Amino acid sequence: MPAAIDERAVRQPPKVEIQGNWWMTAREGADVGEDDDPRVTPERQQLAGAAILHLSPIVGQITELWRAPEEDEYGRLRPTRYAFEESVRCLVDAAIEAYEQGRQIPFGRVSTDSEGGVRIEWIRPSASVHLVIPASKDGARYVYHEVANNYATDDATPERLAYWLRRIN
Amino acid sequence: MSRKGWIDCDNQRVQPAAFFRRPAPRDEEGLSVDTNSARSCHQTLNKCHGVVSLHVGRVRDLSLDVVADAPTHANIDGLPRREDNPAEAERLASRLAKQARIVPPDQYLESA
Repeated sequence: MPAAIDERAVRQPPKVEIQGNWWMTAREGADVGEDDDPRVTPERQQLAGAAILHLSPIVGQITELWRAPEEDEYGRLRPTRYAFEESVRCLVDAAIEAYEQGRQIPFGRVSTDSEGGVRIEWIRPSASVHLVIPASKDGARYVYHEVANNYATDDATPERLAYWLRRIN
Repeated sequence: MSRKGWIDCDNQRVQPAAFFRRPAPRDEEGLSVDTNSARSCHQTLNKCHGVVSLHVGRVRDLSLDVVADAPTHANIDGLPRREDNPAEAERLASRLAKQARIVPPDQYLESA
């Protein structure tokens, strides 16, 4: 059980720095594992619960799936390493992009498809945005947006994700 | 619902993720639905995280069809796969998710 630290007693780094450190730690944890290794390092667990804007709860959901059984009756439940890494990378980079514009990544819901690709869905009455990261680099990755009656897919880059998430409050 | 992440319990909403056809050869006939009852739907799955209902008429309003292939089973026909038409697959999944209503567990769980 880690000791509780009063956050007022330590220097508070800028949010971008927090996100940058977080991303490096998340990558480190993912890189050392085997493809299907469910290990989640204590650092990653700690970071998933660190309440960094709205990022931590989303990454917490991805981490929870990473620790889930490999399969269920629908298909592969656990994200592939590719999907895990790419979804976290895209999210964190989008959060940095959004932060530089004075915004935050809103809360979204995470699931996997039947192949182990990662889906993150931001559903609101006025707009929806879906980030789709396939199980492998051969699959189609995109950001889907739906605003009023307009809908389309866009490149799944952090910049485009941050752009469309401006519609989500 | 065979996956926990398909239901947003906080907002009592169904996620679009629940309404995609899997890559071939799965879901060749469409999206599988139970047409008997919430209870039979719950009992069909090894691990059921919830039951949602759809109105056939409203599904057909989306230019989809519901085709029965057994007394208690049907498939939602007309949904493209994400591999074939991602924008349309996402749009229709979102529409179905908006139409879907979460069935209260007391309507399908055995009472103690």
